[in-house]
Amino acid sequence: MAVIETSGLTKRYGETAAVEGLDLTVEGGTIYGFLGPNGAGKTTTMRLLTGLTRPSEGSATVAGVDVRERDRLGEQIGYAPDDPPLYEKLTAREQLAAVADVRGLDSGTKRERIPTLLDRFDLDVADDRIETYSKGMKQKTSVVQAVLHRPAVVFLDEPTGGLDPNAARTMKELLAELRAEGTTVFLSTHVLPVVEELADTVGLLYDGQLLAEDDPRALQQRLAGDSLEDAFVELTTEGAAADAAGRR
Amino acid sequence: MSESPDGSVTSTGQRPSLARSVFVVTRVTVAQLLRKQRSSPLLLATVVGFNCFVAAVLVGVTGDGAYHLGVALAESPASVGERVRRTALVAVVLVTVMQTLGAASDARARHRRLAFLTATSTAAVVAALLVRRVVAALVLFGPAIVATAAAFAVGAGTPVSAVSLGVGALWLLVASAVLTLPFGLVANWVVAGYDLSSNARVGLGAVVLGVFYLALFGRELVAATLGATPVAWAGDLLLLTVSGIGVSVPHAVAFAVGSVALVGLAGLACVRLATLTWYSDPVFGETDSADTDASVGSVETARGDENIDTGTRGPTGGTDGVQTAPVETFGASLRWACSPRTAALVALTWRRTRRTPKVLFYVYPSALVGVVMAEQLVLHGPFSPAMYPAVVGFAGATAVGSGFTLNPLGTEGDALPALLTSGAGSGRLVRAKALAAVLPGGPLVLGGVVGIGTALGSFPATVLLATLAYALALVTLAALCSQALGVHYPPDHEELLGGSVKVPNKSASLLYTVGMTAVALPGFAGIGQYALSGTFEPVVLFGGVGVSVAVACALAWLSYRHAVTRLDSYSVE
Repeated sequence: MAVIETSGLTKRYGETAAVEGLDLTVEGGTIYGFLGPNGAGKTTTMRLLTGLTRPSEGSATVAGVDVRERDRLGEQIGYAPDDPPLYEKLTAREQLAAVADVRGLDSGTKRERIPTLLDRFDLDVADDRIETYSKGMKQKTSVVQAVLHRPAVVFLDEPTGGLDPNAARTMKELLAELRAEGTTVFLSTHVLPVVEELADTVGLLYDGQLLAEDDPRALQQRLAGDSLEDAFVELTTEGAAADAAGRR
Repeated sequence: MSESPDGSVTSTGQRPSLARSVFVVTRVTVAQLLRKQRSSPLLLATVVGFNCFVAAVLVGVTGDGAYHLGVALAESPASVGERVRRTALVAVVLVTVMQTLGAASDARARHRRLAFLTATSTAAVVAALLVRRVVAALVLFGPAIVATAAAFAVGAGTPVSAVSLGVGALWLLVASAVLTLPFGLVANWVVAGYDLSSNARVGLGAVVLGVFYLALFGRELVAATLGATPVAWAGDLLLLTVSGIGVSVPHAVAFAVGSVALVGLAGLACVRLATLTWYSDPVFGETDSADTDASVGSVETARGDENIDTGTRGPTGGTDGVQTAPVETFGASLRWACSPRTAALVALTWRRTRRTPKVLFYVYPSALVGVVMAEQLVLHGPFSPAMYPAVVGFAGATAVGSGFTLNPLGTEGDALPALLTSGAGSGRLVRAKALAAVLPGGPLVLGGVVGIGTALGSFPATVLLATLAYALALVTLAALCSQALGVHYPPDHEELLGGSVKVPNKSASLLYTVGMTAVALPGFAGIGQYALSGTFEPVVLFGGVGVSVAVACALAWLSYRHAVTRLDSYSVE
């Protein structure tokens, strides 16, 4: 069953279209790898799907909720943007507790999940203020915050950026577990091996348009590349991108 | 960079001279300043309007001014000379106070300067900063000064008299811009270089504002004191090309030479002080020691005062660590006023504000306005002390809405996306912000009104009750209309105070102040009538207060609806 559905989703800033006519369907309980070069419109798409940015045209639903209904949408999703959305003056533990309270989680659930997730990511600085954290520690806190309430869909923008190899592995394990529990993960990253290893479907965005969408292995085979990286490079070279856009 | 014959990469760039570096950095900083002015129609209009206003006052359009002094010159040169000298000293005091306050803000090692510091020398960056300050001062006051000198010359019928007046006044402006920068650097050295507590910082801010206030209202006294010092020779410099006025040329030359020397010394001092200030750890570390209760990095999950059990975690992340109590504790104490989720947001705001008290920076000017009003209206004005409670009500209410509610999105900083996608709801966010401001601010303001009213002794109970209702309505309006205005402006419009603190947009502040004043005026007039005459006229008092209260309540409701609607449609771009 489709959990994310968009139809002709478009976002324009003046004359410039950041995302144009995006048609996406993401099945529930899967990991969707969202790829694209810098400036392709990935972050804008994430913001559209999380209700942070209003579409110029088209429609989108996430977990059955129209993305224009931000409050209802918020109950269904978790979002960890590239810039960790944290209060610098709080400690990680306070941050997570506060967000849990704002989301209306009961005390028992908070007490069970917060320490477990903190331990899992080795956030032993959870009682220090976030302003003292490295980028990686902030990233971990942000991801924990996004999954704390066990949302139906999790949007993760570059979740492995700044993480050390151990934390990156933990992150991958977490993503796999989320999928196993039925959570849909919408993952944007430049770390192609992560997508190659975990994603059920890969979507490639270029210049605001979806160039290709397929199973990662099928995509490689289709483009006769040795890896997803080859496929990415081939598709996003200017000429190829124009051809692909033309074919669509 | 280029590749040498042996394959190694070497830098072919020659180190530019200091003059070249100064030129480049200055060009960039001044271009930034001027572009900022040009790109903001409101800022441009403010600068032009300010110039026109100052010029109109100084030239004599609104009363006695430079033109009239010029006309009077023919009749009584000696008295005109004396007035020009006195006015010049008062102007020196005012400009110096303003420049000093500006210097404290200008001297901060902000990111753009840090970017330059990695590419060029400190001296070049300091020189550019000085030029930027001078340009800013000339843009603000230059045209008015030229117009004033010209008006004096026209009035006197001697065009040459405009030369020393104009050039001398412009030089005083330039000198004050340069001479006050070391103070700004020292102030920043004290604040950034020493581990001042947040209370000490607030105290420092209050002292600076107090000095500003004293200098503003004691300018005549300060000018008279300076009259016995070489600073008074500034008058000789200004009047150098005015004939028949008894100018001391040696004094004028001595002042010019002395001020040039001082400007040079100040420039050198600035370089030295900048080296001490801009490279200190707190500047680069971005850790705001004053906001962190001197315990950043320590395990300080608000234990003690909030009685937190930090607990222990088992090897698999056991659940015996109960660290989620802080927000619950706060929230629980607020459930009489709002829902648990709203209480959580209120508690979150308070906790962050307590750790970043400078987010309340804009509260202080409103409080200062209250002091100035009290001084101007009652202490040296026509009103009796019965006006004090109304002044407290108005200034206090304005202060309540001047903190984080005037920039409701900006104060959330990087966490804004998390808050907007939390499903909390726009209405809840607006209510929580308003409660966070009103719950501590309201009792303070109302307590002040009652306390002062009671202390006055002969204050009638009906007048006190009317003033109380007036203050309550204004406090409610303040917390909501500030949000209704604040949500219209980008959350990260400016970063003046460093760290995660974003100050309100200037336009929002202006509209908010004008709006609050407009609503407060009828009530102020009603209470003012009593304070002026001492006679209680129910129709005037209750009529004035009634209009203010009714308008405030209606506007508060409309502001709430507007803020919620606006937040609903808010789009992170």
